[in-house]
Amino acid sequence: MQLLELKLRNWGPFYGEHKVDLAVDPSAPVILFRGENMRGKTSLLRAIVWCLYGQLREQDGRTPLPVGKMVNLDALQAGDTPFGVTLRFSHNGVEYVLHRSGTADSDQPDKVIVSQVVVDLIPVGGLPYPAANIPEIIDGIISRDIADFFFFDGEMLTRFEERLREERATSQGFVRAQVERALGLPFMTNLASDLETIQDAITASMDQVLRKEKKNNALSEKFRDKTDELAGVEKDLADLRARDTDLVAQIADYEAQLSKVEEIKELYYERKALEADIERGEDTIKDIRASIANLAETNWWLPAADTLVAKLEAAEAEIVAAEDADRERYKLQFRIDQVEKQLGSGVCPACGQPVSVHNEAELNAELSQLRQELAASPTKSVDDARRQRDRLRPFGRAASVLQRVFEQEQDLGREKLRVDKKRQRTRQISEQISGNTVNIDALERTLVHLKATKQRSGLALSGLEDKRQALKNEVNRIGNQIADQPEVDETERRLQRSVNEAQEIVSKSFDHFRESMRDRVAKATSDLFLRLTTEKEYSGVSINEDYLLSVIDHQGRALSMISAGANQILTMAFIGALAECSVDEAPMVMDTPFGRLDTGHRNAILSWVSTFNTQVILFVQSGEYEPERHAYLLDGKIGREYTIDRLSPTRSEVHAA
Amino acid sequence: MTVNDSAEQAVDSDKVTIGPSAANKDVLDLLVTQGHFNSSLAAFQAAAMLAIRKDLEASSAPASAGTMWNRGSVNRQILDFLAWYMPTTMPARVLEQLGNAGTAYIAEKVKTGGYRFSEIFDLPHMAVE
Repeated sequence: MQLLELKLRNWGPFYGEHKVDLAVDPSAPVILFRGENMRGKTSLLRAIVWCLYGQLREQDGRTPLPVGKMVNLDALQAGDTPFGVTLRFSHNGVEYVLHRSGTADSDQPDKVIVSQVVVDLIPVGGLPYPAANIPEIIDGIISRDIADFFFFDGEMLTRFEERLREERATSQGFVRAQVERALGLPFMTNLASDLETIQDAITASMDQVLRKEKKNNALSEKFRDKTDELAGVEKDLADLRARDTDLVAQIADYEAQLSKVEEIKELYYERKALEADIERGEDTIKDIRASIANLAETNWWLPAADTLVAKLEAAEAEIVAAEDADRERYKLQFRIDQVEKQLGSGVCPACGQPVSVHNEAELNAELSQLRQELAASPTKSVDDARRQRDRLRPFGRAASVLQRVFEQEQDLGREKLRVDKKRQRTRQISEQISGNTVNIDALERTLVHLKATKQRSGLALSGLEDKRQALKNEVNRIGNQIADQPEVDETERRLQRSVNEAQEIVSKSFDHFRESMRDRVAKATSDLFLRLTTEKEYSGVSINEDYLLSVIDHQGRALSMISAGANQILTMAFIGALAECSVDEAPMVMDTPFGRLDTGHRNAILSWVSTFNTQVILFVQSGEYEPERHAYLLDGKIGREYTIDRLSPTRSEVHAA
Repeated sequence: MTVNDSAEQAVDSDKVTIGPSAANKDVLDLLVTQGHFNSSLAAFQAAAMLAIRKDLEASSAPASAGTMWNRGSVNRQILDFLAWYMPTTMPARVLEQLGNAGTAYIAEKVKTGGYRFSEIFDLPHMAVE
């Protein structure tokens, strides 16, 4: 298949009618479309895919993309409602024109309703094919199942890369499914199934004969028992397969939803962690507040603390003063007692001599002085002061209680500041991811659950398939016994034998075909990988019997870990090999394939493209391809080169470079 | 009155129920809402203690708008304290007056919001020995 011409009408940013010539010859089969982001490169790729298959998917490769999203907005506003794509292509020497179009209408912004979608396929010089047959014809030229090996973008590379990196069992299943897609094994499976149906019908018919003759009842009974049992297992198998298919669809749906929020995932989790921190912080704030409130309630006197403490100190000072005064009064009284005793006895109590030795008049004067001093000294009771002090004593710990209050308030302030900062960051994140209400961790949990269920379902399927095969073999064995009976018609017997042989051939071919083509894909992947990789420690790629895709080192060991760059190249090599092995000739259309590759790998891929003699269409932006630096790598194989220029945010045009 | 006198001995002519003024009630509710106190009575009692410290004139306090708490709900230690400290034979009545005076004193800060407990009650910084 080779694309010859693409015509667009009101498609993507291409307003009105546009025609792009795509015919190339094998000596220069590369067509380059150069354009910056948002110019319409992906719209051109989607135009080809939609024209061929009438369906589109988002860049995640899973989510259906309504074609209404591809209608040019300026045209819609101008009331120019028809849109469509026409693809002229050749296949096996015949030229075809495929046209798909529709009418768009919009009653509100962002909601485009598409109607009257029609598709025509006309071989040049021939009659149009019936519309109902067109999908089958296109599928015969390049099957929808393998289309994304040929029409792919950078996102698909990422998706394949992720799948190849997944845990062993999932990765093996993926590799096997891709290889079988490329080889058309589903067709072989259908053939085997058809043969089984024929075999069943013949055996049932022969059994009818035996039953009519009322001979070999036991054999007939056994056949019917086993057939019934087989039918039951097949019904279970069909139910299980339906559930498995449903699980696959659900997993794809959840993966699609998650891939859409990939960019905001980190922010989402940061916000979630912050929200948990804020909640903890709020609890801490609540606890500190409660603690301060409890302190305030228990120490109800706190607002008057310094007044009370001052009173306490005053009371203590009063006690000291009262005690001093008491001591002074005691001293005075003691002295008075001595002087009175001296005067009364006429003998000095200190020295024992007659008072007359001393001056009696002086003693009387002293006594009078002492009595005056005693009368003048304060008589406050120390007990009153002590009672006052005791009453005030509980307030003596005011300083330490106040300190606790201040410390807790400082803690409160710090915690509030921390929480405020986190709230601010949460608001920032919420603005960044505004409008996105996806609950990512719920999605991830569900996905993990679904994958676990899928794994269990796979095991159950495998067990049931084994049981079915054993029963099938048993039914076939009994069928052969029935066929051996003389009552059976010779023609039916021969037919039964022929179908048996056909089944055997298909079964052997099936396994042989699968093995040989797996080897072929492995070899093609290995060759391409070695051609593309810039890392010299690798010696190739293998796909073993269990469909484990591994990079091999120079000592023949399968490496469990390879670099991210090597993984990207492995992915590219695997897709290239699948394309190479799946059909004889088809155009390879790549949209922005080099975005994540380093210079060495990008150059290696361009050099590889230069070896093609079949059509290659590359959509590139200036960051991944510069004519003056990279054109030489394509070794003169550029047959056509276009630039996609932007006229306005909603309009672009394709020009020959 | 001696320091041994207690509220118990002086309740006959005292108030049985007390309450804040209408304006003060809102302030007390705010103190609870802002998390400074567990109950408006605790806030009212603290305000009364502030009134003592600030020497606020109890008799000029806004009048109670009605009853809110029974005397039995009031912290017994406070009534005892007031009976001894003031001294008074009607500690509940004094508490009501002081509480209203103190609450009116802090009303503006509480209504403005954003103040700490220590700022509202102007708690003193005291050196810990």
